[in-house]
Amino acid sequence: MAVSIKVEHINPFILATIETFKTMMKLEVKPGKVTLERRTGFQSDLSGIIGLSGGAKGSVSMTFPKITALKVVSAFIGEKVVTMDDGVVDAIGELANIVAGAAKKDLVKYNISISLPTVVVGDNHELSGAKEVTPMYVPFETPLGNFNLVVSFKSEIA
Amino acid sequence: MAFIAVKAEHVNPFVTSTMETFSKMVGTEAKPGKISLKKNAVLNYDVSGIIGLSGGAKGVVSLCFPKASALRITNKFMGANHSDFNPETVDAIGELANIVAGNAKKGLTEFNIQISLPSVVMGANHQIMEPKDVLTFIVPFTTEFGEFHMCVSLKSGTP
Repeated sequence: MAVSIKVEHINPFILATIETFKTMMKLEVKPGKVTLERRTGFQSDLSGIIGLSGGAKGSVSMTFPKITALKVVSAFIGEKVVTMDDGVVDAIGELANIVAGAAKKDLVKYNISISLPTVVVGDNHELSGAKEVTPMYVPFETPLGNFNLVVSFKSEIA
Repeated sequence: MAFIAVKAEHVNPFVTSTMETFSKMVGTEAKPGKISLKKNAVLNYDVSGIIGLSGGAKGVVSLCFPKASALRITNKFMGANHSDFNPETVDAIGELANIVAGNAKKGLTEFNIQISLPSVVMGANHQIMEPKDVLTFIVPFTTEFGEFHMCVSLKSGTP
């Protein structure tokens, strides 16, 4: 039986995403309805993934449609990019890294350490989490398009 | 924390672990090919299991499959007979990546590695991209059920 992630675990990731977009891109992003699902059928073209370990195990991903990814990266690096290249891939990995790094500061008691980012490039791919933990999906609305935050989190620490 | 440079030999525990995992858990031999640096190679896969590594070193390990070998390998692993991807296949890929990373860290005690939960990517012809400033090693494996790749990126902790 998969355990569910708790609200107190997901909130730091939602807040970190809002803060990161606000400070790095001057963009206001709005979280939508949070859902708990093994698979959503939500398909992305570009995803940044960071593994979490330490006193908790998990992963955090930010998944984008291509158009949104290009616009978000343009805002992030302050330069208009129109094609998917290594710079876009690096920026998406860096964005996931910043969000995970900021979120772990609000999860001090879990003493989380974060992995290197991995970026998945591929039209219409789908991300799935671990069997034992039901991941939480948070849709975000931004003026540049929508993206999803996906968090899996498991800890023995109460 | 002592600074330890990451070298090709640090990939060996992952290679050994993959061979053992396939032999013990899947029940088939996985033969490693030549280890190389991934550099700018464009490699497309259909399903990939990804595990983040952190602790005294940061990194990521992935097992990346074409669809046909992913189905045949996971069917053998689970004793199933699926003809297309389903949630069980996805779980099996995540579980294989988890076992490989979990066993490999025992051979890398100098890094005191901790592993994350697995993420599984499904999607025809996707690419897995690791950070450019870190060496990523790629090891092709052949099995009687088809081929797959294991990729390892590792960067030691700050000195």
